[in-house]
Amino acid sequence: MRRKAFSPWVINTVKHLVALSSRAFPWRATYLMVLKALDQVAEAYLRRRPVVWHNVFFPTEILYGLRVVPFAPEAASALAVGLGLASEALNAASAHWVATDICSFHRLAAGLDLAGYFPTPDAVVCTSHLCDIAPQSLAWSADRHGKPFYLLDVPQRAKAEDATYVARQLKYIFYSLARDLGLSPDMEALKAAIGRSNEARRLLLEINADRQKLPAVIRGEEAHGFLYLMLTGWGADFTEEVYRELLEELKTRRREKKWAASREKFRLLWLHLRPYYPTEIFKILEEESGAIVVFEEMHHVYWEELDLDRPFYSLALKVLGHQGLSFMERRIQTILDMVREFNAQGVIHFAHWGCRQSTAGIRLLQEALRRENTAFLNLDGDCIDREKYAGGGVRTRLEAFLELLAASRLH
Amino acid sequence: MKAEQGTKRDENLLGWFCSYTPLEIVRALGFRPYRMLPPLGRAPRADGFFAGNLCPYVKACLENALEGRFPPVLGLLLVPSCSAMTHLANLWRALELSGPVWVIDVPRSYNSLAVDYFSRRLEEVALQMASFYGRRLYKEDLWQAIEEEKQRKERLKGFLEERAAGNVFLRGARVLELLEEGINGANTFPDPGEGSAVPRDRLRLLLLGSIVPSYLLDMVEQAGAVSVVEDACNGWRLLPGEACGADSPYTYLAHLYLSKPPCPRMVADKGRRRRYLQDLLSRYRIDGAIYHVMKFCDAGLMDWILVKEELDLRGIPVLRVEGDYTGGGRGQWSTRVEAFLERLRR
Repeated sequence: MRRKAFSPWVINTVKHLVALSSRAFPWRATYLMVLKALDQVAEAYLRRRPVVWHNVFFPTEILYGLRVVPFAPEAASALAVGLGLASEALNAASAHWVATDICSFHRLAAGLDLAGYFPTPDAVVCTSHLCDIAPQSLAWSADRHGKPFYLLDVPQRAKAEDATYVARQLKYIFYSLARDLGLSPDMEALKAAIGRSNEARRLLLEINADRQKLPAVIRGEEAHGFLYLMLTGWGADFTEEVYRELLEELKTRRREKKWAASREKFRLLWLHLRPYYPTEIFKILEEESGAIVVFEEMHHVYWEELDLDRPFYSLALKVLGHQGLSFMERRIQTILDMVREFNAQGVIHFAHWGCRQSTAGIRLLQEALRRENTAFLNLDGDCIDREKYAGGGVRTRLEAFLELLAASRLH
Repeated sequence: MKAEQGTKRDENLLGWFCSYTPLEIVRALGFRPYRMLPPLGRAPRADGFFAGNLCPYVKACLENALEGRFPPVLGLLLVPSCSAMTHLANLWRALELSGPVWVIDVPRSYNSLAVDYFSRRLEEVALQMASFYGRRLYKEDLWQAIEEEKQRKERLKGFLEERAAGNVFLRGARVLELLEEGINGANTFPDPGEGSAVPRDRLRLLLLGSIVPSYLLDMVEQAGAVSVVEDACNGWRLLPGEACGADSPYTYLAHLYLSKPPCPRMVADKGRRRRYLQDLLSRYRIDGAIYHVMKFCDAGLMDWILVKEELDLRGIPVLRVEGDYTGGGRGQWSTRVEAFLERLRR
């Protein structure tokens, strides 16, 4: 029955209901983003154009440049948690031998696909960087659906020859997808997508610059919602639209002195993702304690403006520019820069169970932050599986962290 | 060739981990490659540096380095085959455990783009190492190292294939030892007297996993079966692939390593991995399989699904056991292995 809830008719009905309830959204930009996301989901289910699954680190400009409908199973997993589908889907995955030690984003995605919730892909693309399980899981899905799978193999380094290697693969993927899906590989459309990506990037840089100002006007819990664009929307027209709206609202609220908290006590930086089921984390931090999450590592713009005349090469540089690649010094330096730029007194890393990439190097980061006298909390948990959430323990740890921050201020 | 193990000082050792490491370059530079394959055991010190959800083999490597249990090496030639290995490289450098860490990206597919890129990287790293250590690297030396390594590995391959075909027999644990000795440079091969009579009427098993512990092979034999193929990073994945004529030794090596028995990390080559398994299953009589999944190994955890699908298609039963590189849980494994073999006998 619930599977039928994903029919185009129901999605359109939901869209109309959302459209009528704009006041339920504290930010107009959020409202706009939800409407656009629903449009995109509806397109995927209506299948008027080919649907290409991708991981969240794939440069989606390629997909928007091909005018296909991108679909990110990892992002859909986060959405499915909110819709209450997690238990059923996780059970479906377990029944198909998907082990519980695998990242729950991918276990859930596998389960949702097996249970018939996802739109069938016409092709699957994935990068190899930052996450070991994404390419494994997406390759398995492509195989299961009998669809082509293209891996973008990303080296750890970002020298010219590495960029050339990635660029050549991107070009190959662009033309191969066009061939497989019966599309015309239109370079002008790709350039247009890259142009939109550049404009969205410019707006996000302005948004981030605004968020550096004191005090904050948007709470971390609200800002986290916009990660959907960061992970799926580069090259789409709506990304630019939503960022423009958000920037306008940030400026208006700052002008009107509508602050994120009546009294901003601490400024925090958030690393990795957040749980997608209801928790008290942001209530404890932002509402009860005035500790505002002023920035998320995932919102960091790590790449330069893309070159319209060298689309594949500049996209390769974008991919290789991620702070999580290469040795840990790179990520640590990026985080230290963020701490300084955003005037953060503390850093919280949400250690999502199943993510080897983000959690394994935390000891070195912790030591680097300690040397800079920046408080650090490594908060263990799971973004998807609410059964791994221990509310009491989380509160205790957050309160201890806040006491530490207060004590540091006194000294 | 166990001389380099233990704590005996050897000025010429260069450490490596992954079966995609081009040992020929190490030898051509005049080093002796030393595989960092630590003994099974707990890793309490490494646990302080790594998160709990990380590959226990990688933790054991760090533990043994921290405890000074590896012989001193002049550096590491490290393939960042997964996130865990990348983080091992981070810590190795940060803690200044021994010598520089030479990182060489190995593509996750075997195609012309990958060969081209990999061969360039091989040459670059080889020349950087030569410059750093003040050694000369001539192409002729590299071709010679390639030829010697080829002969050694071809002999190992021939022996393993004979064993898989049931023409010779050697205890599984001894086979793993021979492979380790062989890749560390020994030319010791089982002499005719070393093997014992080929056991007849015993169940023939395929063992799979990232690293298959030798005591699992002992367990299988004690329970009355034999392991005939070990599809593992300390087993058949050490064997070479096919390399056609290439002008450059680096291009030759790129072909040789990218086409070797595929590890599950070669994610763009799932079709080749599937065909490799199908080939093994059609060439050799396999009555059952045991998959040893290393805890938190994403590639292995997903490969298990592929392997199970292939075995199910052929009606070959498979037992999955999970390991954490501590050597614990032997009693439970033993019971499960015995029950599995009992089921196969029925």
